[in-house]
Amino acid sequence: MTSQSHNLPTRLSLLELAQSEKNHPAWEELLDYYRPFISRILVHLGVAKSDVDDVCQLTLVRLWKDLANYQHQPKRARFRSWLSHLIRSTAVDWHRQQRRNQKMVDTDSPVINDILMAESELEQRIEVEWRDHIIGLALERLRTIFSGNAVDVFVRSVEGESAASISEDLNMSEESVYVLKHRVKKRLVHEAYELRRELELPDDV
Amino acid sequence: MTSNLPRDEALKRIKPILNDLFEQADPAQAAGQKIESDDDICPLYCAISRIENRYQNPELIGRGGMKEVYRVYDARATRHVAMAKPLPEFNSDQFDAFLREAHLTARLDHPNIIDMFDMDLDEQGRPFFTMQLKQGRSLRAVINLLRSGEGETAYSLRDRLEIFSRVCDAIAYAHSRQVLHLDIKPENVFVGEFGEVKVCDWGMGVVMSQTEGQSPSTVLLDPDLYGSLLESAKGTPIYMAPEQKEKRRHKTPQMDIYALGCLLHELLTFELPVRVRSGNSKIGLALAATIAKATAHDPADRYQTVEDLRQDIARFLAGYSVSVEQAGLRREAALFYRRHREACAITLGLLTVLSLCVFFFVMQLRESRADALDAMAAAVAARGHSQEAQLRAENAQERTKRALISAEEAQSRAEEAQTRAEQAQSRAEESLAKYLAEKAESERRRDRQVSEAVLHAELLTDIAFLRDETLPLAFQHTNQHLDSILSFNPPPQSHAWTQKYWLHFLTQDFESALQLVRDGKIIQPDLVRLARKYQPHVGPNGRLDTDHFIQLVRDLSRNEPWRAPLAEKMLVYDNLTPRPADDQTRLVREWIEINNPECENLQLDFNAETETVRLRSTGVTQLLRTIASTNYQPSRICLLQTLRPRVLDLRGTNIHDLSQLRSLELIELDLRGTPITDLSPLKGNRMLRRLYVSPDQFTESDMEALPKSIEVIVGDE
Repeated sequence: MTSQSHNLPTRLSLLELAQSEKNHPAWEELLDYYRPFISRILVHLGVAKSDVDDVCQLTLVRLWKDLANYQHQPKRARFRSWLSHLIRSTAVDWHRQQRRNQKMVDTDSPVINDILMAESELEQRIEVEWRDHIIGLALERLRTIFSGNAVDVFVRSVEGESAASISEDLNMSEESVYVLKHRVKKRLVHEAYELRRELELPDDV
Repeated sequence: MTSNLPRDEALKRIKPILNDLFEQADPAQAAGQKIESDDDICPLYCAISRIENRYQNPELIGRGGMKEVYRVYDARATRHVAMAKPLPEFNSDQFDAFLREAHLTARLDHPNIIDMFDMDLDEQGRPFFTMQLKQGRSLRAVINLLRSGEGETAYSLRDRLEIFSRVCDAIAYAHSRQVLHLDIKPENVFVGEFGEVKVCDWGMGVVMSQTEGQSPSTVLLDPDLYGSLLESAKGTPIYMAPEQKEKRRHKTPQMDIYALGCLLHELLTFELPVRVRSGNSKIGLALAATIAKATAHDPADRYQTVEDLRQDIARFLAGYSVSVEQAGLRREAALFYRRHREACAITLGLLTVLSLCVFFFVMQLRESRADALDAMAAAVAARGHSQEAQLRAENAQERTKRALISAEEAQSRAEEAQTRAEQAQSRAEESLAKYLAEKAESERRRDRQVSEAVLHAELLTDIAFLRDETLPLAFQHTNQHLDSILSFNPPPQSHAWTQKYWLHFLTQDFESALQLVRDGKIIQPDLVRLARKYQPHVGPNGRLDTDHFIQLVRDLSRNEPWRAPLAEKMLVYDNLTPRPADDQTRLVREWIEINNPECENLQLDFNAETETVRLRSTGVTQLLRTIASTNYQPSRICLLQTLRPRVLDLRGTNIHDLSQLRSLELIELDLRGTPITDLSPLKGNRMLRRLYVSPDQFTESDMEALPKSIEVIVGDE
C-alpha cells in the first residue's frame, strides 16, 4: 500500500501538536478529550466532587509539563503507566493537602494508602477506563458518519441477534444488515485507531 | 427505536468485543496500516484515487489529415470516449493547428455538435483531447448504404431531410457563435443509432472576424498559416464553394451554405454533386430549386443565412411551398389539400350540400314572395277602402250638426263611429298581416282565414249600434271587407258567400243575391225562397213597395222567427231613405204588432212635422224586439226607431221599462198612466227637456236624481 502512504501525508498527532508550543489550539482540543477521562479516575481515587475540576486541571498541567521529559527518557515506561502514575501522585497530593487542613478537627482519617488503590491495580483500572473512553468516543463519531440505524444494527448483531431478525425489525434488506454490520465495525476500529494515534504516545516496542 | 442508543449502554452491550476492537486499533500494531484503507467504506473514491493512467486500451478508429482518433477507456469516468491525437509525424511546432480544433469544438455547445470532454498533454507532452464516442455511422456510410439499394426503409426521404435539418441547426448555431465549419461533407456528419445527428471534425473551421478587414481570430489561429500542413486534410474539393479555392478570400457563411447544398444533393440523389443540376426529376421541383439556390455560383445568389435554408426544408416537410419555388395557385392548392386532406374533403362536401340548400330555399322564397305580393295588394285595397270609410265617417260627423241641442250627442256619436271605423281599419290591417303571413300556407289554412273573416263581417253587421249615420258606413265597410275575401274565390260552400248573399238580401238587392245562387254558391234555402218570392216586386228605386216590404218583414219574423234580426236590420237599412210618413207608420205599427202578439186596437199616430209619436194600446208591453231577442242590451233598438220621434206620448200604455227607450233621442216624454216606476234610465240623459208624470208615480228623491236639464211636469191627463 505504498500509494496510500503517498496520498496521506504523515501527520503529527494531537498530543505532539499540543506539546510543540505553548497555547497551541490543539491543547484545548486535547483537554476536551482527556478531561472526562481523568475526572472519572479522580473520582475513583476519592477526590471530592467539588474539587475534581481543579484537580483535573492540575493533572493536565502536570501532564503537559512532564510530557517532554517522558518522551525523551531513553527507557521510558508504557504511556498508560506513566499516565496512571501522574494521576495518582496528583490525587495523593490532594489527599495530603486535605489531611493537613483537617488535622485540627479530625484525627480519625484513614491512611492514604488505604484509600488509594495499589498502583498496579490502578494501572489496570486506567487501562480499562481508557479503553472504554476511546471506544465510546469512536462510537460517538460513528453516529455522525452513519445515518439512522447503522450503530443499532452493529450492536444488535454483536449481541448475537440474527440478520434476519434485525432486517425484519428495522425494515431493511438482510443484505444491507450484513453490509452495515461489517462497515460499522470496520469504521469503529478505524476511528478508534485514529483517536489512539492522536491521543496516545506510542510505546516503544 | 434505539437509534439514539446512549454511549454507555452501547459500550456495555458490545463489551465482549471491546478488547478485541481496542487491540485492533492499536497504532503500534502493523494491523493499523490496514485499517487506514477505506476500500470498504468508500470504494469508488479509493478506486479513483488509485488511478494512475486515466485513458486505457487505445484502439485506432480513424485517421484524418491532421489527427488520429482512438477509442479509449476513460478509467475515471468509467466509459469509452474518442481520443484525438495529432499525427505522429507532427512535432511541437504544429501542435497549435491541432489544438485549434479542440478550442473551436469546445466553443460550441449544441445538441447537434459533438461534445468535447477533456483536453490535456500526455506523458510525452503531446496534446490530445477527448470527445463523445457514439454508436452509429457516418452519413457517408448511410449514403453508401442507400446507393447500394438498402436502407430505404430505415432512411426515408423524410428521415434524410430531418437529418439535413439537424445539420443546418448545428451550422446555424455555429455561425451565430462566429464559427465557420468550412469542411461540411457526409464524412463529417455522424448519425447515431437513435437518429441523433452530430457534426464533427471542426479542424478546418475558423472564427469569423468581427469587423471587416481585421484578420480572423487572433486567439484561434488562421488555418492558412499552416498551409501545406492542412493541404492534405482537404478531403472533398467537390463540396468546396468556388470562391473558397481562392485562399485570400475572406471566409463567409455562404461557403458553408454551398457545402450544405451539395450535402442535400447527395442525400437526395446519392450521387456526388459533380455539377449540380437543377430540375432533377428524381427529387422534385421544390427541393431542386432549394439545392440550386444553395449552390449558386455567385455567393450573393445563395441563401443569406443557414436558417433560411433550414426553414425551406421545414416548409417542404410540413407540406408548404418553399420560398424559392415560385409556386402557382394550383400547386399551393395541391399542397394545401395534401396537408389537410380530410378537412378539405369534409368542407367540400358540406359546401355542396349547403349550396343545394340555398338554391332550393331561394326558389321557395321566390314563390312565396309572389303569393305574398298578391295578398298584400288585396289587403292594401281593403285598407284603402277602410280609410275611405273613415273619411266618410268624418263627413257624416259634420252633417249631423242639425240642431244646437243635439250637437253634443251627435258629436259623441260621430266619434263613436270614427272609433269603430278605426277599429275596422285596424282589423283590416290585422287581417292584412295575417294574409301576408298565411298566404304562403296551404289552401286549408286559407279557408280557415276566410271563415274567420266572415265571422268578423257578421259581427260587424250584428252590432246593433247601427244607427242612422253609421249604418251605411259600417255596411259599406263590411261589404268591402267581404269582397276582399271573396276575391280569393273561396269554395262555393264557404260561409263568405252566404254572408255576401245575406248582405244583398238585406239591401233588397234580390237580383244580385240570386245571381250568387245561379253561380252555384251554397245558400240557405229559406232565404233563396224569399228572394225568389219578392224579387219581382222590387220597384225602379231598387226596393220593395211598402206593402210587399211589410209582407217580407212578416214572413221573416213569423215564418222563420230566427230571421227577425234580419228583418230589423232591413227596417233600419230601408229607413236610410225614408218612405212617406204614412208608409213608415204602417211599417212600425206592423213591427210593433209582430213583437207584441197580445196587442189589440193598436193606435199609433205619427206627426212628421212635430216628430211626435203617440202610442195607445193596453196590449203593448214591449218596445224592443222580442222575437229571437238577445240578452245583449246595448245592441237593442227600440221598435219605434225608424220614426225618429222627438216627442213620445206613452200615456195609458203598459210599457213598464224606461230603458227600452234608450235608443231614442227624445225631447219630450209623457209617462202618465204607465206602470213605469224606475226613472234611473234617464240619468245622464242630456237630450230630454220635458217629462210628464202622474202624481205619486215617482218619489221625490227619484225625481231629484234626474238631470237638472229635465223639466218634470206633474199632473193628471
